[in-house]
Amino acid sequence: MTPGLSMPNTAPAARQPAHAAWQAAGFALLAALAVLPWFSGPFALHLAIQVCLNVLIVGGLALIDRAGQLSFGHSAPVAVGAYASVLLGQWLGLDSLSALLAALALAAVLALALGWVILRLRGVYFVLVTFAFAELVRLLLLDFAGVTGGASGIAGIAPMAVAGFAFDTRERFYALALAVALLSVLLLARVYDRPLGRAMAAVAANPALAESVGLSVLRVQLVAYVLGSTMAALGGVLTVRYIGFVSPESFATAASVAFITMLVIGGRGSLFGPLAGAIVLTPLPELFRGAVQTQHLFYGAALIVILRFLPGGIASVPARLRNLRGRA
Amino acid sequence: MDWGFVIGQATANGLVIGLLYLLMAVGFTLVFGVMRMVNFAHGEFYMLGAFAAWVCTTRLQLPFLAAVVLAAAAALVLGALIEWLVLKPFRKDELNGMITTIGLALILQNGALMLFGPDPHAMPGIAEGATTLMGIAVPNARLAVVGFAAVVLAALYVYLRHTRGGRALRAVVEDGETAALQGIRARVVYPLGFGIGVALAAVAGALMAPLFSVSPFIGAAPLLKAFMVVILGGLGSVPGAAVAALALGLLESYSSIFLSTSTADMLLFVLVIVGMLAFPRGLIGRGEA
Amino acid sequence: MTTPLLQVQGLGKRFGGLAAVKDLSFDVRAGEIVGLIGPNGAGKTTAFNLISGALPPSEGQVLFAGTDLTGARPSTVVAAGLTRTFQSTTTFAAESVQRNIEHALLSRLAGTATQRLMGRRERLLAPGDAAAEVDRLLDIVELQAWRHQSASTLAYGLQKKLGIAIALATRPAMLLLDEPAAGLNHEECHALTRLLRRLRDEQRLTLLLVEHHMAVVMEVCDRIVVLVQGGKIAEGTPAQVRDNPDVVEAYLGAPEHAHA
Repeated sequence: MTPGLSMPNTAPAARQPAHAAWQAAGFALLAALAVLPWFSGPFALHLAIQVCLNVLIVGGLALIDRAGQLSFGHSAPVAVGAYASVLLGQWLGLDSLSALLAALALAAVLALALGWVILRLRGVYFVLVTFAFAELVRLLLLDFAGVTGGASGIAGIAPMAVAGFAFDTRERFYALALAVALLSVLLLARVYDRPLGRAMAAVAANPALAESVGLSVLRVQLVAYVLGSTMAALGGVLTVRYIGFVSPESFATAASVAFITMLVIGGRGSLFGPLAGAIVLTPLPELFRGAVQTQHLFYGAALIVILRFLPGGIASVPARLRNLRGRA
Repeated sequence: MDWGFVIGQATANGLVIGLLYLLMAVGFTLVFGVMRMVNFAHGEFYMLGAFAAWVCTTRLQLPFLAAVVLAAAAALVLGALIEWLVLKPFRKDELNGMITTIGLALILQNGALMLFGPDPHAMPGIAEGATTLMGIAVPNARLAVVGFAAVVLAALYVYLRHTRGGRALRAVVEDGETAALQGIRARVVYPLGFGIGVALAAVAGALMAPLFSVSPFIGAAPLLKAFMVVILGGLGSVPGAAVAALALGLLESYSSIFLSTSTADMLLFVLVIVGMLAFPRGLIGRGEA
Repeated sequence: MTTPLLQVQGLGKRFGGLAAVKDLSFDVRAGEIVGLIGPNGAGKTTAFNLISGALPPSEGQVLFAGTDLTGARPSTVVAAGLTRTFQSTTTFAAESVQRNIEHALLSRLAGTATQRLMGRRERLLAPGDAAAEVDRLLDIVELQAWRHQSASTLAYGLQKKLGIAIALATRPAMLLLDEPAAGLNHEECHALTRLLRRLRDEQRLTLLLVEHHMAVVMEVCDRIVVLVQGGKIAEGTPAQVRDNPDVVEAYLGAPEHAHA
């Protein structure tokens, strides 16, 4: 840890014991929520697993966004991870763990190559290209049916197994998903705190100024893009190992939109944004059981309302409350 | 195989499709040029236009022409209202504006789903038979569509060139800062620009409705095509959009002779991405980089 | 005679058919403050951007400390020891003054992934010394009192000082200042000239300013280069330039024979 650079932005005297107490309470609540699914039956476990995988994937998107570019095609690396782990496993006779590593390596290399080219584009163009690229990936998966199974996809995918221990029950898989989600949040926390994370913030805030103090915008954004895409790819690998089935329809535009929605509603500038977004939005399909249209209508309205009145997302609420109390 | 016939047929089809892409793309690039906003809901206005035409002809028994006009007018008013009520805070905020239009798209599409259900509806054809032009048989329905599209585009051209409102819009598209200095009022220009942009999408939807079926899901493909056209033509360049739209329509038509639809789609994608990287200011270099 | 620190030789830039800068040659010796002046449209900003790497030249060379920096990327130019300031958007607006400077130090932190990624090899900073460096820079520009204040809420003159501190954080041998006096009031101009002299005398920096504000230029520059329509028409000490009839004519328009 670098001493001078890890000082918080607030004046030193502002740390109150009350704040620490609230934080502890928050973590305790999260811990309780995290443990609950094991005692609540298969449906709660299923939901919790989805939440964890979304935390991972949206975390990757948050990282890319942190460096100043927002990808509207985040479903693409998820798809690459999913299909690569299955296909590479089949072709090279790999066990699930090796297939996972191979898929991540492939996703990283692809992200490096793609990012090196498209990160030179300004915001709006980057958005359109990532959007188009995700669609291209989906079409490729549909079209090369001989390899990918086309629209019918691939079924009967073996569950995740490490050293003979198979994550083939919901209880076991939830443990894996929870651990991975936790690690992803810790990884992001670490990156944000280090000089590299600061460099990302600088590059996002004022690219011209960042360039003129020796920070190459392209390189910084590339690191964020590769890391973020690899996180998404891991989410894809784990998803197919859990569900046992993969098809291109899971990676349509709706998926990319869902990830952006979770990020924005959860909070773009905050470490806990992906967590908040995933927790709030993942169970919604169940609340709106059957009324899919109403659910999506709600997403759309929530997106607009949040952007208008709470641009920092749900994760910014505690800070806002603190400000209000400070002024009272 | 009579190549002349096949090519001729493909050219005719390509031009029809190209014209409709033109309508979509011009509206899309107009909205970007005026408000610097990438409108992800553009495809949903296309869908609404199609539904408006369907309702007018099958439920209200109105003639097709009236249906198209009504669809355009409704989209214009709705678009202006939406811009004024929902999008105003994001006028200077590109990224958040984009995300807001995603929310808008979700609301419009699912609203339509709730009103009309997911199944496709058919519209009665607007003309029977076919005319033979230069040895190519063109269905009269498509000829009518081309005719209407041409009229709309001509009207747009006249409006942008010769009326005060249109000139104000063009001024804002070409040089927003100077336009502001000259006192062109944002209060009017922004809703007007957005309204006209989405009205063009609605017209495209209304015109396409008799040729294809009408359902709440038909907005996605035209949106993607609008993106591609605008990327190739240069964001904010109306002439660029025109050139790119026709080129894309023809390219799509020709490639479908030799390739499957999805392969043709993929080829187009790759072409667009390469084109964007090679020509950041658009094919004719008049857009923004 | 030692080699000048900055050598601009035959620099030129064409936009379409228009030559914004033509055959510009001048030197800046180490420890000097040189001013680049000229009427509006003279090509000062273009010349500035050519030297700082923001624009690639159509012809000519830029040599800095013996290294050829012609057409180099801005980050390469910075790594070589030549840093520029900006006229507007000079800071990371949402961050505090302290955090702004910390951002500017990032590529110098020895041993971090960032430093290795940026490929910076000279004048590195040990991470443990970062806090002291921030203090030092705040002292030079006299911004200690505003350390925790958000950059966007600073007074305009202070924002420009922060911009200079940010540039200093890259440990340059030479600073390129883009209209540092623009928008400053009388008081702030004095503070600026004092700061610029301190930079030259105490920090041993070489400075090249592009500037409109005549009083500042005349007061603080050791030498002045005058640009008109992209070409150099005069060069010399403030006194020489002030009395040069070509310069007078360029600024006042028509030649006045009766009044010098």
